[in-house]
Amino acid sequence: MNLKKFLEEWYIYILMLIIWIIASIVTPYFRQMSVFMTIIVFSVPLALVALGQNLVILSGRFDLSVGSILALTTVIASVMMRNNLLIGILFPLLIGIIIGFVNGIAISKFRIDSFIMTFGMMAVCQGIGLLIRDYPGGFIPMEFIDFLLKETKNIAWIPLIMLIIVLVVGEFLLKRTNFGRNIYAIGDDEIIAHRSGINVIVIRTAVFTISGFMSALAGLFLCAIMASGDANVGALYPLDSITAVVMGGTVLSGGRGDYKGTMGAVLILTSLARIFNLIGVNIWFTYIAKGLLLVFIVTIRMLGVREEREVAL
Amino acid sequence: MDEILKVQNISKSFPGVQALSKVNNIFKRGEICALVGENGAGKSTLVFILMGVLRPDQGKIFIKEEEVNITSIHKAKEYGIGAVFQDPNLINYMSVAENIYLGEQGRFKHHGILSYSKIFRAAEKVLSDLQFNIDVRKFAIALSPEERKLIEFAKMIRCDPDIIILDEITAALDYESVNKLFKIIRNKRDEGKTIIFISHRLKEVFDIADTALVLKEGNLVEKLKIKDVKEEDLINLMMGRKISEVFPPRVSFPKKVKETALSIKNLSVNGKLEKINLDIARGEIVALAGLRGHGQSELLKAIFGRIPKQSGKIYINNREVLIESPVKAKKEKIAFISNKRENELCFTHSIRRNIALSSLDKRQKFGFIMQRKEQEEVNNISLKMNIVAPSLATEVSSLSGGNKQKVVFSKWLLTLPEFLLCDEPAEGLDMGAKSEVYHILRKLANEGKSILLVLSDMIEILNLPDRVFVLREGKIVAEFNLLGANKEILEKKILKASIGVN
Repeated sequence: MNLKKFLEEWYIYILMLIIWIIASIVTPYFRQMSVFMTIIVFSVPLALVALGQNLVILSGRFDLSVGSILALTTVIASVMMRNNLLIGILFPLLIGIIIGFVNGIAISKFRIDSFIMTFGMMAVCQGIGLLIRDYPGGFIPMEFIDFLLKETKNIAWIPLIMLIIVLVVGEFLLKRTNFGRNIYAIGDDEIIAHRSGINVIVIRTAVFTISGFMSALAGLFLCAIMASGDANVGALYPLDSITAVVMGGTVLSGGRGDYKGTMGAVLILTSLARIFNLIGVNIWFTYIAKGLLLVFIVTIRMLGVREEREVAL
Repeated sequence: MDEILKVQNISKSFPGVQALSKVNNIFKRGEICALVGENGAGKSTLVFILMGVLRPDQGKIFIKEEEVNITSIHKAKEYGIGAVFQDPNLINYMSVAENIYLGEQGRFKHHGILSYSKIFRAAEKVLSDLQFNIDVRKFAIALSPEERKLIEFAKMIRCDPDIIILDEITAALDYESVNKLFKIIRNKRDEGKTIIFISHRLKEVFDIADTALVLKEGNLVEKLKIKDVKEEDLINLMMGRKISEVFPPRVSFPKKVKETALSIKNLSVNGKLEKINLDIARGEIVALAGLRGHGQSELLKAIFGRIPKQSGKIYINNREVLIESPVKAKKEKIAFISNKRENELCFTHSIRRNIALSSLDKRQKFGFIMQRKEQEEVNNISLKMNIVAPSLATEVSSLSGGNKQKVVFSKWLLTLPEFLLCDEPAEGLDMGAKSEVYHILRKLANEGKSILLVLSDMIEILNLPDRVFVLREGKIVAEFNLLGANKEILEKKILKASIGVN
């Protein structure tokens, strides 16, 4: 097997292993199963949001509204779950789908810049969330929390399975379906895709709708972790999800990349927070580490690309 | 006449292509020298090297017998070389005047502030000297393609270069502007300037040039005095082979097969096309000819639903169809292959992905791709089209022009089209690849598909299609049947119809 090709495909997981090995040498606590499980559990919301973001970025756009859709979802769920758990789950998901759909139509049909549109949507959702609940709180039923987070034999099965399912679905969707192929084509060049007879508006709208749905799903999961709703909880998600997608090897301008890399990056980002926590370093160092790591990885990759470019010129 | 520019042993290669190999020539003062040769023969590469856009791999350039190292366009200007490139080079949201004086606006200060009235006045003087009638206050984006070319010419001529390079400047111009331009060029020659002129229209070369350099696949094959050569000889030199080897023979069909398949009635596109009527039969190749930019490409785009139609109807097998987008066109089994391959392919994607893209829905189960079937179909078509590549996973960006074009064809053929619209399908390909494309088109026609082409190369027009329509100013002005016609007479007729003289 070609080593360069192997590294290009799997570098993020190699990096993850290196970070984990270093961490377990530096701090013995890291070797515990419970720490690993925390990483798994906290990775789920970001992994879900990042799948939506990944589709959006692959199609050549951004979705900045993911965080506030997620936050709004937690708020709505924390209000509605009190009366009826099922509706408390379905209604927030529906809201996520609707918001994503509105984003998609505005961006594809009315050709509003995705940055502007989702930026606006971010503010709107945040505002609605704060109107409903300006302090964290509300009620999340215990059975819901237990179902998602309960550990048997020290393993949080549901989050683990969720991660695996998301990974498989994400990869499969992108690589093995017409929809995935069309996303790549649109991301590479929307006009060429249009001329090839692809319905760009439908695909784009679907991509943003999925992103909205995934954010809502992440919001529901986060409800269980926080056991409450919080209109401010989503602030970091837009940037974190974009960071994960780009770190995972997806090109920011679209058309190239995959989901497995993004998943690896999500695990690294969540691990960093845990590790710094365990070593007892100030938590704000996580931010610095995240930023440096992102720039470092992209720089390394660009060096490779530049070599190819020069040959082409 | 004395020497002004000498190129010695100039070579340049790109991955997989020797664009120029050991080109030697001396350009003299007061000479109009035409560079002729097929697309890809190395003409533009030579221009880019003289202008400092590209660096030669080896070789030397002398100006006034002094060796120079041209490292940028700026340097080229200092050495007295000016060029109008093939690609547009104006800044869209600046006025014509500012474009003409780009980089030198500092000269028009009034109390330290840029004075628009001064720069406008200066630019107006430049244009009136050339007798171009264009408003200098207009933004460049508001100019027509023709006006843009003229402004670029004015911008170049203003610097008063000793060596003037014009790369396909006439392609966007109409008959009148070409004449105006030629008058200026002749004046410049008489002033002792050197002009290097590139055009695909052989007629223009005969009109204006004193000498011609024939380039073929990067080699300088011949230097000719124009007054000593005949037109056919030049064509043969350029192509390097006889026409009958390049083009597939026409087949005349039994009457039954020749039924109308696609019929266009009164089609108009705002400002571009006016009441176009044409029919194409099954198994027929029809070409749209005429000067470039007279609505030929727009007609194809309108049929394919890429630009909106103002009025008109399209019938397929006598059934009226509404085509307002490429998605619809694909459903009606129409394929569109445009002249710019870079506008047809996802460049960072593999050959397989590109070929599969337009026909994904033909190989799916509930939205999932049937991998094996896709593999099989892509494999078959690429063998049939003779695509040369290391593997189907190769990125299309690394393919040669001919192979890229074959990928585009493969992609559309998998949609099982009945109608092919091709805008200059062989443009920019080398002779071998061109010939392959011609044969592919004829074979498809023989299989019963209807093909509508836009062609501008007279050799193609006379040898490839069965029928030709000539468009001028968005109207069909003539129709010719090519089967059994006398080519020389026909060529004159087509030219006359294109230009609009009797």
